[in-house]
Amino acid sequence: MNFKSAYHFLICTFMLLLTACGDAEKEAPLVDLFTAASQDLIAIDFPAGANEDVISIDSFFDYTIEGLQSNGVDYVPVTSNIIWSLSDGAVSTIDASGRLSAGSVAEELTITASVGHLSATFDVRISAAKFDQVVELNSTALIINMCQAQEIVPIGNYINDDGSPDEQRPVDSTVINTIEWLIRNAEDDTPSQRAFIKTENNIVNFQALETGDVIINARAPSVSQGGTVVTSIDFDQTLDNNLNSIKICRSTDSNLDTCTLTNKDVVENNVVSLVAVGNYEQSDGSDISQNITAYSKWGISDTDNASIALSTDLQQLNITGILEDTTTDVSVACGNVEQAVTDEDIETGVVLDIPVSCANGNVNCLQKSETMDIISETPTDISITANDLDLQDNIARVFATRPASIKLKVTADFSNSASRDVTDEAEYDNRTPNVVTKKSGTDAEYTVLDTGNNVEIFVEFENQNFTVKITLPN
Amino acid sequence: MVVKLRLKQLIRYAVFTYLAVFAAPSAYAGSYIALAPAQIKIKTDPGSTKPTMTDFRLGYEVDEHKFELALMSSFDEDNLNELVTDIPSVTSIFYRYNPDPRSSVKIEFILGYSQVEIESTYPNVPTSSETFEGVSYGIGIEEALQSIPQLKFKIDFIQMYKGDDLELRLFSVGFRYEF
Repeated sequence: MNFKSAYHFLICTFMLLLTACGDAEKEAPLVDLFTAASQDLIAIDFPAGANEDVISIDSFFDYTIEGLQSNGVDYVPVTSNIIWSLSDGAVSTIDASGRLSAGSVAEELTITASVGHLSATFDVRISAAKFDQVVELNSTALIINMCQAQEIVPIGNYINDDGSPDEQRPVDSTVINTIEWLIRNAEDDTPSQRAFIKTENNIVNFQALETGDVIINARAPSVSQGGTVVTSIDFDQTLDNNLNSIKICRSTDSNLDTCTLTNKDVVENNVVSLVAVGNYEQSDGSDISQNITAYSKWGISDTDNASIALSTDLQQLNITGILEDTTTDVSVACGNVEQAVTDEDIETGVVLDIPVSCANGNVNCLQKSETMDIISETPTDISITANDLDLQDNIARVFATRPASIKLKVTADFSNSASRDVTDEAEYDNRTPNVVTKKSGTDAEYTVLDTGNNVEIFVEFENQNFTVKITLPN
Repeated sequence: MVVKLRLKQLIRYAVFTYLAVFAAPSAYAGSYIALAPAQIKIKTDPGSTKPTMTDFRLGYEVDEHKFELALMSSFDEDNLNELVTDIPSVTSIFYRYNPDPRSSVKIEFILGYSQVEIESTYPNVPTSSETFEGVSYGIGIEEALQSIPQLKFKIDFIQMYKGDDLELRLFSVGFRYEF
């Protein structure tokens, strides 16, 4: 073996030593303590009511755990560093996020969740009983005010083929998305816009938009009846009022109790986000302020001056200034407004191109309107590039080669820290027409002529001036 | 290329260390002691702590080579929420190689073996102690004080232990005195 081989052998041995000296078994107890300590946990558990102990075959359920913090009082959701496992022999499976996917056979199993040295177990029965129909709107009585929303857990009846008793339990994941919710006004049996039930990601959200009594039915294919669509019994539901007042605030206001809309400026081409805040009287006599943007009805008076749209999560209304030195009235109402609202509006969030209002004397509707001022952008500076090369105001930039054309790009900085391309909006004065000429149909592109070396173009954008100077070679 | 050559040199010197120490004529040889406050970072994926230590070294130097025995004892524990960690003792042997002994600021490559004892306490868990052993490697920097040339200011960064889920990293700043 020559020296080179020996050298390589020693290097490999050395690297192997460096990487092979860990002892995972020895490290585990200490690492486990760090895992629990990093989340300040001294115990974990499956929270009561949040986890299902019976789920249907071929369905899934997302299990969650909570942890007791070291102060011995506070419980917090635990979402990281959880190791999930099932009892031996289980046909069902559970993934790293806690989603139990039930197998195709009935079985009983135990879920174990571990966070470091802490662990908790939960017994689950996988049932072969088949869904028949929804028998309860929610596991508990639903108390809700207009312009509020609440998650509901519909209860289904499940039938066993083997003659064992029916099961009544929360509708599982395979069925919950198939339910069509029908809502009627109780007094005249007409389709109602007082409430809307939306199912997303297996969560059913009950949204109350107005006050009054409604009748709700759940229509869904019955597995036990071979897929026949079955309509549930009537569920009577009252939508309470309890709304003391409504106001508009900026979305950046952190205290909903005290916020007021003092700054009503919307800069042209910029967005301001607003929220509707409802103040409700609670059952104990106290009151509470909540963001009710999503379930309120919004309108605007002058769509030429500004536009409005709800944010993707419906938690704020974005108003965009269009025409400077104008105003627009942004209005919001909670309850049954005078204006016509489509079912599609109800589903996606009500934003109308006209002001919304409550009829005189309608105690089941509250409204608020604010006049917003659309103000001009105030540029603080402009910067210009020529053929992507940065220029300095009134200082000649020397080009290494003579280009066939020069294309200017003007960017303005504004007082609100925004900046944007204003090439099309700036004004240009070509002071060297014997050197460059403006290309027809463009604002800021010039053809370089055969003669002359010094280009000078004066640029102005809303009182911001810039003198472009370029020195061209022959 | 430079790194490769230095590694090659390191291997050569590691293999022929004793010959180099005892057989070759040397320009300088002598013993030394070093004292430094040290911090060991106990690093895991979920979190880390940094107990502090008193780091005492006893060594022998031959030209560009040093052989050290390091003995460290706990100075202060550290905690992550309610997890209290302490390092009661560390015992290490290090070989240090300085490729350029004539430089005023000396950079040394360190290779050795360490035993690190870690004690931990956590609510509802009995106090436990575990010793981790393994190859250590790192880098040291030192510079002699102009007024007392035998006294050197030194900084060490050493990976004391690297396991699958646990790393122990030492950082020490102190002085070394050559007899």
